[in-house]
Amino acid sequence: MKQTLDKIVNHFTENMGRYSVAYKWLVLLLSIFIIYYILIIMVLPVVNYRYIIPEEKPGRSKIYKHDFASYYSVDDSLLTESLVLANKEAFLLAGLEMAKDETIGLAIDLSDSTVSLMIQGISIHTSRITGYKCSRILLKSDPFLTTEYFSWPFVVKDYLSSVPKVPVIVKKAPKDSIEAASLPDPGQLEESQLYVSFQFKLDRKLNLKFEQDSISDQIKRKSIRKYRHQKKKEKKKLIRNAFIRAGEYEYTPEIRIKLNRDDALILFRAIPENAKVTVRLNPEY
Amino acid sequence: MKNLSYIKAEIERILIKYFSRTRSPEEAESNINRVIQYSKVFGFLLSFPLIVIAVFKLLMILTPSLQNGMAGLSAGRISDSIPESLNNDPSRSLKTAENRIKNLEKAFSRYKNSQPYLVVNTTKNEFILHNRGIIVREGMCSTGSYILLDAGDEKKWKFETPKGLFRVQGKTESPVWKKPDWAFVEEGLPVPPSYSRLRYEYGVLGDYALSIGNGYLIHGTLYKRLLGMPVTHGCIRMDDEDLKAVFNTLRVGSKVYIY
Repeated sequence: MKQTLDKIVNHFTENMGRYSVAYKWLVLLLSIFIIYYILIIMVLPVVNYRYIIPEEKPGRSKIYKHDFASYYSVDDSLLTESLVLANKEAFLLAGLEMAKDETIGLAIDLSDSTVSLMIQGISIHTSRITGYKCSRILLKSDPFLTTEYFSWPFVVKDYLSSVPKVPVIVKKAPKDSIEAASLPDPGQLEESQLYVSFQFKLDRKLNLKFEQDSISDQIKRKSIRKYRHQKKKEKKKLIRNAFIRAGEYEYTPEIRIKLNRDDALILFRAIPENAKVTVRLNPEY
Repeated sequence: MKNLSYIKAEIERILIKYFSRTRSPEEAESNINRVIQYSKVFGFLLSFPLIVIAVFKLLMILTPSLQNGMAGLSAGRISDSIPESLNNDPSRSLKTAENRIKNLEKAFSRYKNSQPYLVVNTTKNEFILHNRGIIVREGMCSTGSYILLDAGDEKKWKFETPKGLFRVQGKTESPVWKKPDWAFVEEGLPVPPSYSRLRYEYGVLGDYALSIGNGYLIHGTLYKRLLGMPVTHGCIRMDDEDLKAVFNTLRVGSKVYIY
């Protein structure tokens, strides 16, 4: 073993010059890789990001005129007023579309700091948002186009969560009445120790992240770590795919919302598959 | 650079001190040289993968915030748009927008329910009874336990209260419970035929029952201490007084929202 090590060391010492050159090349390659990464993961997807306005949206291309110069010719106060109205109109339009469904939907009003569960235009549960954060692209983009983007409901396509969606407890059926009498009560899942955080992946490139606003001592750190690990895995997968199929990586802006733990759990459990979601941004944010 | 050579000299000094203690000066020097050689080679070999890992980790951590930072650059690039009329006649444009909003609000108000309806929260096991737009009663109830009863042979029952919009399909006073198969399986009893008398139990559902479809009922309970807990087989159990209020307020066709 020692001899082999000595051999390796001697070999490297003798050829140090050659290896140094190779090392420099590797560092150069790494730098190229970093530049490539920054370009395809950080710059291009964000710069090429476009709002997706669904085809079925009535008056999709008629509402707004695309005219860069005119943007600056309007008085500031008028522009603000017009924006507030456009924002409200967009939220109502999306809400009306969502109300056509008989399933539970989610209405997020960041202007009002509320999240509501809606069925057919009726609010059945409202929670107060204790904090939120939006990706800058949603706030810095053309505000009229942003309102058009939000004037049609989104659809929940997938989710990721720290708590089970359906807290099922499996109970084996007893063989006879004697066994039934001796079987302990399966009770309920102990959920008070679980950290509540979840993420809805919506169609039209938008992610909604919800998390409880405070972490009490009761919450098991393990449940937080497990969820974070899950998210990390997801992110790694995305980045790996971006390298394999360069250019296919899509930037997805997100809205991060903090809620009271109970409310967060209620919302998560209530939202069905393919639920519709409407969002109203705060124009003064 | 100065610091680096200082550290190098310091390491050399420590090594000399350590090796001189136990071995002859020549042996110690050769050992020192070997250690230095080893550390140079392995330092060289390990440094690259370490740099790669560090760079990867750093990029992963920085990606969201850098992407967010990049958003500022693209902001101006997303096709700029503005309502055409806002440039031509601003005050008229605003008025039109206000009118459009009024119309939308009007359309939205058609969904507002002035009829009585019930809202059930299955996570908190609470209910709210509405009538003519106001809350007339609220309290605790019991909903599905989420137990999955596994009887083998692919016979499984999940005791979950369904979520969504339902309508009262029927109202019954002094209801009789016709026990389904799972009620016997759960107790380890043989399942009797569907017409058997053994299936009927009296007085366990309270004074009233409202059917919301698919066999799900809103009914009373003998186990009042369990109200507020998820313990049922999917039905919604209520306290006697609450049930009476719900029964008297809701009509056949009234909406029941469960979430």
